[in-house]
Amino acid sequence: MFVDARNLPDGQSLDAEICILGAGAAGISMALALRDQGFRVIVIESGGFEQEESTQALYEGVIEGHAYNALDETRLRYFGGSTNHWAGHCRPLDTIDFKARPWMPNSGWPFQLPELVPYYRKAEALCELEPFPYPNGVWDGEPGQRPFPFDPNTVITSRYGNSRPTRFGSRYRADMADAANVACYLHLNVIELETDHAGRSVTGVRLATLEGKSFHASAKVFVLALGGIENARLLLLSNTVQRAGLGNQNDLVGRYFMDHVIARSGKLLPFGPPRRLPLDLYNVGRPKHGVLVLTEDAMRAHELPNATVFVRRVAVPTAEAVRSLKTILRMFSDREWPDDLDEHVANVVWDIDDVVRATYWRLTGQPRPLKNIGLDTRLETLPDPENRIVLTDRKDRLGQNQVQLRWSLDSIKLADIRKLHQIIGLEAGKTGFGRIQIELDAEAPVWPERRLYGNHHIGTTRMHAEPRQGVVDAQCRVHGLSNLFIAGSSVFPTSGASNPTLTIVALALRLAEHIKSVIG
Amino acid sequence: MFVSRRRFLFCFIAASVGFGGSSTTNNPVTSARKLFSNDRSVRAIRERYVRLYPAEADPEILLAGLERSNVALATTLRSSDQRRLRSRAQVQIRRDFATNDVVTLDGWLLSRTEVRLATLAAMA
Repeated sequence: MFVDARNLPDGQSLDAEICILGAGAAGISMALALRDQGFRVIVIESGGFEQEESTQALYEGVIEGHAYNALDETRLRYFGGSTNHWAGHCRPLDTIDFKARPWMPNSGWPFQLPELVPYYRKAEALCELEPFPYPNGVWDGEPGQRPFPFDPNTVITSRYGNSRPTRFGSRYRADMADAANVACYLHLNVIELETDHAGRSVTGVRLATLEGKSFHASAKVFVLALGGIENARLLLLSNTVQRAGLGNQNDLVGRYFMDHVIARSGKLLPFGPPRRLPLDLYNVGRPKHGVLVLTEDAMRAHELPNATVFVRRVAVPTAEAVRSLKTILRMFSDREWPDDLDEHVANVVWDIDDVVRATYWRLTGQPRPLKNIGLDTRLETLPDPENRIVLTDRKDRLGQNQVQLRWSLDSIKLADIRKLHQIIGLEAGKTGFGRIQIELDAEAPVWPERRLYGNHHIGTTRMHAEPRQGVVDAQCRVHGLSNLFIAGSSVFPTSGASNPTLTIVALALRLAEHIKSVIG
Repeated sequence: MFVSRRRFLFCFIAASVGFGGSSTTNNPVTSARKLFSNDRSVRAIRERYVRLYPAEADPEILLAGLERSNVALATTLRSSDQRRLRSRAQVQIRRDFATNDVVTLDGWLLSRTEVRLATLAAMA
């Protein structure tokens, strides 16, 4: 059932066995997994069923360091959370993402991929996806498609899946309403987690509406499912007993913030007529599409983080081609050569290769159109403790400290993107498939203008078996607290190179099962 | 007087085919030039390449480099067998990528052989 907290009498107490804070992908997934059980579940959601300016403003914060999207624009604060604006791109983490990698400090999860596979399968259903193979390795495409013919020991085509996208709020609203043991309180904000005197267990939660009403919730078990930034924020704000914030005895809460960046990184000049190129397999608009990834062996051999390379068809627009021709002609008269080497590379390498000499372009006698394929790379972000969420002195409307994101792009190594493209370029040349242009300068690479953040807020309450290296343990329980758990991407120790939503839901379902066993 | 094998090969080719502007098919520059259809393109490649490797603006050094990679390819350059030249060039180009013998021109990752052949062709 749904309850609008604004209509409740001021001061009412809420009581349940399980209290879930947040109703985004993680919170809703947990609530659905816990429905129709013999215990009560309350879900606390700051917003209502639609976006509201006053609630959204509670997400405001500041950025220090490299430019980043405004914090009140990268996430949504109403029922369904950020699934209300996600693009639906899904891919499970790879086997190597869970492993400790000697060349990547702070890597390694406390469990491996097989532990999560049963929950990935259930998560696929919630995200309305076709099943993935596990591990998600080589994909040959749909019948009639062919991947790029690279050495499968080095570069493979792996699968991505697109959800509708599933808007968890609208899609599962009826299910939540019908769940007899689940009560979802809307327009209710979390102010602080309360603990016993020793700070060893959470005894309750202080709650409030924007209109000034106060409430208190008590439960046996509490779950933070507020998102990658707010999970950390709430722990830091809950500092009445533990002055540094709950679970922050080792100064880890808020640290290791990660996000993904997709940047235009290169071009692939393929050989052969366009109609024979397997580009449709890589079309990101399809329900299933391919991306280029290195094998685990190749990542180890070259000490590279994980990456997914997206393939986009690019053609020189007619107007641009005309402008180019005019530029070339003008330069001819000035006895200068054009700066852009693209066309000359195409002419030279195509001339020397028998495969292309038989193409219909020669047969038609028409000028060869330049058909490049754009490559966009999402490189795994390195876990850097200096990328972090901290509290500022500025207060929001509820009187809570706003956050500052300290963010540096240095945790994503441009040199690694170059190396990745060199590997792909060697494969393309070795197989006769084509040539690669790396669009990052060798001497002084700078971030391309064309880059996109994923708005994937990862790592701020990372998982590790050791309290000195993580905020939560392998069961996502906050170290040092008996009954506080965290759901969402804030628990990821590493980011991988896949969109996180599918993994968020899988982890939430795993946590729900664990909590069932705890509650008994 | 010791004459290096490289120098001998170059002189032999020059003497045989009148290197330095001759239009006979045994001229390695002419042979290389016949591989490509576009003057501007091979000159653009050459310009970028010799900027990085100035010594290879010298055709003798360039040919020596090609010979070090593939003797048969270098020999075929002084023959009139364009089909064999193209075939051997393609094999060597694939081998260059397999052995990481590549150069980067304006970000383009290219086989050293294909770049050298274009550079040689641009001397025509």
